[in-house]
Parts: sequence; C-alpha cells; structure tokens
Amino acid sequence: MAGDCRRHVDFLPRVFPIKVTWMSIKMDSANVAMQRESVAGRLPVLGSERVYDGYLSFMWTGVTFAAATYAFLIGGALPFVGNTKLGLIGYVIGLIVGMVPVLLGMGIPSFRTGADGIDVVKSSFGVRGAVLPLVALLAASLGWTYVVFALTGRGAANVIQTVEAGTGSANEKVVVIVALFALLVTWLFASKGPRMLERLANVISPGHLVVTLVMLLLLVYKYGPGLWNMNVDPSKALTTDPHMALAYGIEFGIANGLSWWPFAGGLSRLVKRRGLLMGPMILGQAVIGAGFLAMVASYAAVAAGTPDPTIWMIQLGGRYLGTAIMCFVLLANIATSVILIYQAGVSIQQFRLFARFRWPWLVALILVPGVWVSFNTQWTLDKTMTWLAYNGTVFAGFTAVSFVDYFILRRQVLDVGHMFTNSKAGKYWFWGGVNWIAVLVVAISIVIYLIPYDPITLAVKPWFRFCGAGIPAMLISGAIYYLLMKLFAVRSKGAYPEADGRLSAQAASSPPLTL
Amino acid sequence: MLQTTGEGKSLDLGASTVPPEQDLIRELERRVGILNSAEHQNSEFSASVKGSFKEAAVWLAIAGVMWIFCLVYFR
Repeated sequence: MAGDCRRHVDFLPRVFPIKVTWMSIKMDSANVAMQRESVAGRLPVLGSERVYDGYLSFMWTGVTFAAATYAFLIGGALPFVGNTKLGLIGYVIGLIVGMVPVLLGMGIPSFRTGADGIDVVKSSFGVRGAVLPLVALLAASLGWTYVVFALTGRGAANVIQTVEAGTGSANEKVVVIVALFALLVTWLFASKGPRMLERLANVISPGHLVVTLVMLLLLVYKYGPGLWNMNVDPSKALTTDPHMALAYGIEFGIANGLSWWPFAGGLSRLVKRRGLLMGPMILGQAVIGAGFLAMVASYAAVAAGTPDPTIWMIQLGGRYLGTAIMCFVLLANIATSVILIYQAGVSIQQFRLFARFRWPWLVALILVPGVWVSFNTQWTLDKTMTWLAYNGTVFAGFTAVSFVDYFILRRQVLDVGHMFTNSKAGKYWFWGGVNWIAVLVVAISIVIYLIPYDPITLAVKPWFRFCGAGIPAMLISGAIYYLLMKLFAVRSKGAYPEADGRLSAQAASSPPLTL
Repeated sequence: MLQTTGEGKSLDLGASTVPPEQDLIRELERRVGILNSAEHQNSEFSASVKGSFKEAAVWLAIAGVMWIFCLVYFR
C-alpha cells in the first residue's frame, strides 16, 4: 500500500507537470515575500537572510553613513574651537566614546534577535512606550535625509556660482532641480532594499576615500608642513583655553556618535557574525568616515578661510578638478540618504497603516515631503538643523536606558515573542504598555545634557571643560534608571530575572503575536 | 529590482503585494519559534558577547590614551 502511494506521488509530476511547477512557484514566491517582509519590514531577520558577512562591506556602510556633506561641514567648524589639532583629536575621541555604548546597547540585542531597534527597545520602554524612541528615530532619519537633499541642492548651485565667479545668491532653479534629482535617485536606490545599500556603499565609500585623499595631497602640496599648525584667528575662536577646545571637540564627537543610536539596531540585525558589530562600524564611521573627512575639511577650511566646502573645494582643486570632486561628494550624499531612508522605512512600519504599502511605495511616501524641501532648502537648513541639534540630546538618555536595561537588569535575556505582542499579558507591558521610568529618565538626561552646554549657541558652563555634557548625561541617567527600576519595577513589572514567581509564571504564557 | 538573498534566491522588493496579515503573523510565529529553538540558542547569535566587550574596551582605551595625551601635551 505504501509502495502504491509512493508510486502515485512519483507519478504526479509526470501527469501534472504544470500544476506541480505552479505550486512550487507559488510556494517560492510566498517564501520570497516573507523574506522581503523581514529585510524590508519588521519580521526578525534570520541568519541566512542577513546581508553583511564581511568586515569591509559593513565598514563601508559605516563610512557611507558618516561621509555625507555634513561631515565636511562639521569638519569645517572644528577649527573654530580654537585649536584645529585639539578639535580634531577630541572629535575622534568623542565619536568612539559615543559609539561604543550605542553599539553594545542597541547593536547586540538586534544582532541576536534579528529584530529592528525599535522592537528591541520595547523591552525597556514598553510595547507602547517605544513610540518615544520611534518618534526620535523618525525625526532624526527623516530630518537628516531632508537636510542632505537641501545640502546637495544648495551645494550644486554654489559650485556653479563659484566656478562662474558669480557674486549674487545661488541660482534657485538649479537648487530645486538638483534637490529633486537627488530625491528621485534616492527613491530608485532605496526602493531596492538593503542589499542595494550594501552594494552602493561598497562603491561610493572607497571612492569617497580616494577623493578625500586627493584633497589632502593637494592641501599638503599647496601649504607644506605648515598646514598642520594652522588655526583660525583667536578672535573667531570659541575659546583660547586648550582644555576647553578639547572638550568642545569631544562633545561634537559624542553628539555625532550618539546619533548612531537610531540606526545601530536596524543595521546590526543585517549582520551575520558578531565579530563584525564593533570594529568595522567604529573604524568606518568614526575613524574613516567622520574623522578622516573632518581632518581634511578642517585644514582646508582654515587654509581657505571659510568652512563652506563648496568654496574651498574649488579653491583647492581648481575649476575642473575641484568641481569634479564636489560633484562626487554631492553624489555620495545620495548613498547616505538611502541608509537613512531604509531605516525610516523599516521603523515607520510600527504603524500598521504604513506596513500595508509595498516597499517602493512606502519609500516614495516617506520621500514626498522632500519635494517641499526641494523648493525650500534654505528654510530647511536654517530650521531643521536647529531642531536636529536639540533632537540629538535625547540619545544620551536612550543609550543609557537601553544599555542598563539589557546588560545589567535583564542580563542579556530577551523574549522575542513578547516584543511582538500588544497584550497586557506580555512581558514588556509595564504600566499601560509604557515604562514611565524610562520616559522620565530620558527627560532627566535632556536636562542634564543641557545644563552645561547649549548645542545651538555653544555656550558652556566653566566645568564643561572637565567632563563635557554627553558623558555625564549618559552616566547619571544610567545610574538613575538603574536605581528607579530596582526600587519600583524589577520585582513587579517587565518580567526581569528578579521578578517574583507569580509574575514569572504569568509571563511564561504566550500572548497572541501582532505586528 | 532583484536582490540576492542569503539562500542565493532572488528577492524582488517591488513586484509582489504585501502578504495578508494572518500570513505575516504565522511567519512571525515561525520565526519566533526558530529564535527560541535550541539550535538558535546554541548558534553564534546567542553566544557570549565577551569579544564585543573586549573590542569596546580596546577602543575606549585608545580614546582614553588620546585624551590623556592631549590633556598633558596641550597644557
């Protein structure tokens, strides 16, 4: 009988070849659809689906993220701390100090679970409280994307004006056309998903490095060894105190490093090996992408007397080479936008309405406000940059909460299923779905950050020179979070390892999953 | 529009429609099951992260040395 059955089964493909092929295609397309929902959606990404398997490919993505036009702008601003060398060294120190806790606290849990960063922080902020980091993430990713479009549009117009030796303001038509072009190309690349992001980074970032190296050689050729001792006029400097100059540089670096928080989870879940999490990203983003570019930009800015890269690149490289370099740098902005938009596209699916769109349409929807930005680039740069500077202050608190919660309070144990449930029976429900202690601590961290340092006016308290703002904000808010959670939560809420038996038994049940 | 998945298949992010909600939930349950399985618990994804902390310590030490050098040298 069994043999008869097997014969029938073996016989099926010969009798119904078309049907069997159609069935396999259908199963295959369903499988592909689910893979798409993981890499371009919120489903946890399994090991076989992950994109980054090599040190260099992940490093280049880090370089791409850091090496947009804003890297040149920050670099151009560093000499104004009063000492170019100290500003630069401090900047790299700050980047490392800022990125390490971010990569540990957000990168490792996302790598282990394959879940997006916003799903991971549900374990610390609650399944509903995660909307707070989500809003900060969307503000950062979309805000920076639109800033990059505005910079690209204005940069291109400035280059044309500089080459033509024009005197008036930049041609607004050129600004709009270039910004819209950048928007369109970003959509084309971003709609193809993270594999395209990796490929783009593998091409753009080495090119960016070569271009920056050429600029460095031009600088050394033009100014000789005296280049390394160039500083801005003391009357234009923020301070003449070397220790304060160092503290400013460190603070700029920490702010930049912490701003990786919204993206660390989303990219770490695409990594195949643990060994790739830390080194490639710090080397790519902090040392090469931000540090090396900032070094060239800062000395070029001091030598040319302006922090505006669209002016000093032409001065440095001449009409043709300078324009070619600037065009490449502006083109590289698109690769950065693709990373930012990818992360925004995955995280915005926390709102189910957005999860119903096909990925290319979702990306298009996210980019729609960019059309308005293209027509209002100056307004975007004036207002959005200020807003982003304050938005960045929340990431010290987010970093402290996510690190303390995952490594100290939860002892690195997360229940993936409970990240995807909106039920009161879920482990991460806390109080009405929100861990109010985490929310309070983030608010406190902003206050701690802003007491010694104003990120807009750059006004500081005298003791800023000893500890800056970001480090005390992270350490103090982390300590407050630990104490408050020990006092009010770990035994009764959030299913921590110290929870009493009744809670543990309740949490052992599996509530229905939702996306 | 085609991208290669980890299994060597092509993944088209634009061609197909979004799967129905219940299919996604089923897939989520399957994946959560995989993540909770003994196989995953013994894989590299669940292994100790001491190596990452060591790397973090090295990077912080580099930053610390640079910081101290600047404080001492640029007095």
